[in-house]
Amino acid sequence: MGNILRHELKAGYKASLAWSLALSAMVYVFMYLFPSIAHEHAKWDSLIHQLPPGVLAGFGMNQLQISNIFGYYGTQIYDLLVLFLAIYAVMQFAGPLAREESDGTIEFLAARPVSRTDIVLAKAAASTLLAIGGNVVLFLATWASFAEFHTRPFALSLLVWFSLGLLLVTLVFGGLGLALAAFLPQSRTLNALTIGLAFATYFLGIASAMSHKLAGLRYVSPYEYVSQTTIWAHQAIPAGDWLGLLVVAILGAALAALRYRTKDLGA
Amino acid sequence: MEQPAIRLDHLTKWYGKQRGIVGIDLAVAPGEVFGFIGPNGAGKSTTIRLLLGLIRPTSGRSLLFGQEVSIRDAKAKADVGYLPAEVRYYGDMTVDALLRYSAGFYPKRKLADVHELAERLDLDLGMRIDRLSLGNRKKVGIVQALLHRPRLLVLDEPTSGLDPLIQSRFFTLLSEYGAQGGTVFFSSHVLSEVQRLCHRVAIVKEGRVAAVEEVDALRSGSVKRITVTLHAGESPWVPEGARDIARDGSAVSYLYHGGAPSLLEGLGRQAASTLDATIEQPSLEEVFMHYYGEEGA
Repeated sequence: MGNILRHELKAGYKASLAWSLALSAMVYVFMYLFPSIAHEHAKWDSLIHQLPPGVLAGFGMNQLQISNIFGYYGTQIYDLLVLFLAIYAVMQFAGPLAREESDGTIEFLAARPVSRTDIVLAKAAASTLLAIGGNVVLFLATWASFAEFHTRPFALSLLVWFSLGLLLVTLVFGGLGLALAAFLPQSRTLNALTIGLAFATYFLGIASAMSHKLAGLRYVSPYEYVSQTTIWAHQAIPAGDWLGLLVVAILGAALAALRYRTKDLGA
Repeated sequence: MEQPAIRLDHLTKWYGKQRGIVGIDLAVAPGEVFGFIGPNGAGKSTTIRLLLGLIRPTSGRSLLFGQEVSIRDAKAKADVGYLPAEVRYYGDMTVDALLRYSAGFYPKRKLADVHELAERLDLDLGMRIDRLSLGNRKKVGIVQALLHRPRLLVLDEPTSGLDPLIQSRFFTLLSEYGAQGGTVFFSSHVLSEVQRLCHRVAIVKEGRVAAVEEVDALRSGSVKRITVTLHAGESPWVPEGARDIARDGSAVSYLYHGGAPSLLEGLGRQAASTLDATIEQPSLEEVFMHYYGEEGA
């Protein structure tokens, strides 16, 4: 198992690092604009509050003030990060497993004295480590840009919660990606499906916030549990929510491992 | 008693309604070089995939050195080196990195000398896998299969893509491996290479084992195609037991399985009226179709 883990880490760390640096750069650029926006906050806040209340709720702008650094980060950056990380996570977790089958290399792997469960778990562990690494890089970059561009003192603990929210989204969509890869390894369908899944649940979350009739849908959207409004309202992520998300992530990996225990490979 | 290196107990695989293999029973003794021949689609690769636990049998089981192969439990595979028919490895790795990755799955083993193997097969260890030709990929597969010094080598169409020189070096490697007590399971559709290397062969047709024969017996009583043309009006002699007989006036063509003396004697009786006669090796497909097919059914 350690052999596969090492192999996957080696194969994946560059892409993972490049991705987290790109996101870090994006965060830095957005935060660079914060001081001047905070300076004109009165104008901004009144401008934004001219938007219909439904739209404000949909994008979580009804509770947070943009002149607050977390308000700015939450509405302008965090939402985008969540979506980007979700899409990347599905690919990051599903790719290494699905590629083995679509490239036929699984025949090499499955002929080694290593169990199917170990193959899936080693790959899941490698993707998890890479995801944690990437999220730590992103957190450090975000912290650095907060430190550089803040206008008033800010609570580091809240930034940690936002970053944990990003990590949770990564892990949930990673788990779903693993399950998808085990059941549908044909890579073309897989890419379309993963992006579809990430977007569909994202807009489900927005729709549920904009309309009371659709409010029930928010529970189906993983984003809602780590949305900026939730984190802002609780100044944390409620324990039930983050535990639930972790369980979903682990279930996804377990489902993938179970599928591999009975699957014909390379046939 | 020593456990057989390979034992297949009524091994069966259906892909939905499509036949893979049906009720294959087979035992290969340790140290034996065993041929597994049959036309494409006969079920050779399916048997190998079952043997390695890549796919699940519909019924029956396979054992390697007495240990049952299961797709859940991989221990039985520690003693196997596998060369697939189509070598598909990670394109972005170098040959060297791939071989090290492969060796990492057998941490307690004393490894074979990679450089010596690579040199003998004329393989560049520094090349990226995706830059290699088909033949060179096959060489990587050979080194990878021998690297951890397995007790059993499972080879699926090992010579396809290899040029004659490398093929002959590969056979030398196999002979050395056999001489050291290694067991070889050699799947092929080329009868001559199986005859050259193996002690015994199983002949597979349409998912079943049609016959298991000693190679020596196969050689002494090998099937031939006889074509004889006599003068017009004469009726050619056909030996008893001939198959696939095609008559065209005074000409005849058939498959013959038996000793040379009785054949030559029979042909000799019509020597005076013979215009032309050829005795040739039939294609393997012909042999399968007209001999093993009916006997094995």
